[in-house]
Amino acid sequence: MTIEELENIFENCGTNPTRWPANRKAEIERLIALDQQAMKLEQEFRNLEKSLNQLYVPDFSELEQVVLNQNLPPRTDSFFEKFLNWLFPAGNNFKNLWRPAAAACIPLIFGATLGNNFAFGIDISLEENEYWEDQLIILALYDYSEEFFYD
Amino acid sequence: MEDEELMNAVCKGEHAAYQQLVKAHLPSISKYAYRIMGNQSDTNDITQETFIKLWVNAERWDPKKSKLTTWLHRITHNLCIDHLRKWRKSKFSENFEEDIADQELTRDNEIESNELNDKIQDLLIALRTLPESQRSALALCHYSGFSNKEAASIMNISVKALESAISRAKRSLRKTLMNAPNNENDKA
Repeated sequence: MTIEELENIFENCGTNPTRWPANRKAEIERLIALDQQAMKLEQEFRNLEKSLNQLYVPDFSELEQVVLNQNLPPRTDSFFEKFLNWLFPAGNNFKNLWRPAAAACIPLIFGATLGNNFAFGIDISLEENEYWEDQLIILALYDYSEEFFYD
Repeated sequence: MEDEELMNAVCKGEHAAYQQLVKAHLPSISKYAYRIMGNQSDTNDITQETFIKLWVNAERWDPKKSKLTTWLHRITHNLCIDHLRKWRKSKFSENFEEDIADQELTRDNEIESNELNDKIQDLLIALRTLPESQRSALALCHYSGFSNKEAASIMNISVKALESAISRAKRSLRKTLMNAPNNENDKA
């Protein structure tokens, strides 16, 4: 292990051995015990951590009472929120993937039902509409390349 | 009672369970918010909002996915980010001079108080001028004791990005300490 690697470990994990990568712990301890530079580096990081621990943080004991006494909103969720929670439940995202998929199919089912039951002013009894399949076949058989030869 | 049982009770609307959870988690949540926001008024707002979210969204917590403290810290982290974005500029840059004057620094018997004050004040200024992501990474890993993986999940970034943030934070703080008058490393 190099000094740079050790510095990297101190930066990422600190000087507390319990936070060091388990597979490198022995190596780190050996280096600190034998190398003067490693020892100095460890001391530097220990000083930094000690100084960070001396930074003042106010006592929030009064805040506890404020939080405990604050008015909590009612826990009755609206229908929409309940639906959203059902649609996208926390965790098991793949297991419940069918829910958003099923929800996405609703407009399709709605459209098919609507199209089946309502004509929306389209009169299929007209003669041209009756034979629309024949017209499609004629169109499909038409050789468009002929136009190139006769122009 | 365990967090999971308490959260199930909260889902049923039991206030007593909510109160127990507040008592257990408020100290760590408020300290984390303070370390990000740097002032008591925002810390109070964010802590209150965090526990309201716990009450309202209790069923959204998945015990298989994360510990309750991790989930609560994630809520707090997101609220802090929202607050900082709302104010555009970090409150640190506006108020930190006043905050430093208000600070009551802890006394260390080994070092004279004046030296300690200078050094700690320099460190405090350096800490407060760090980008938000570096401050959060340091607060979560150093002060709150989360593993790098947990801290990365709270901040919603990769472990590599977290390690890079924490490295940069420590590098600039070390530089500040090295340049501080009468630094302990010179004595060693």
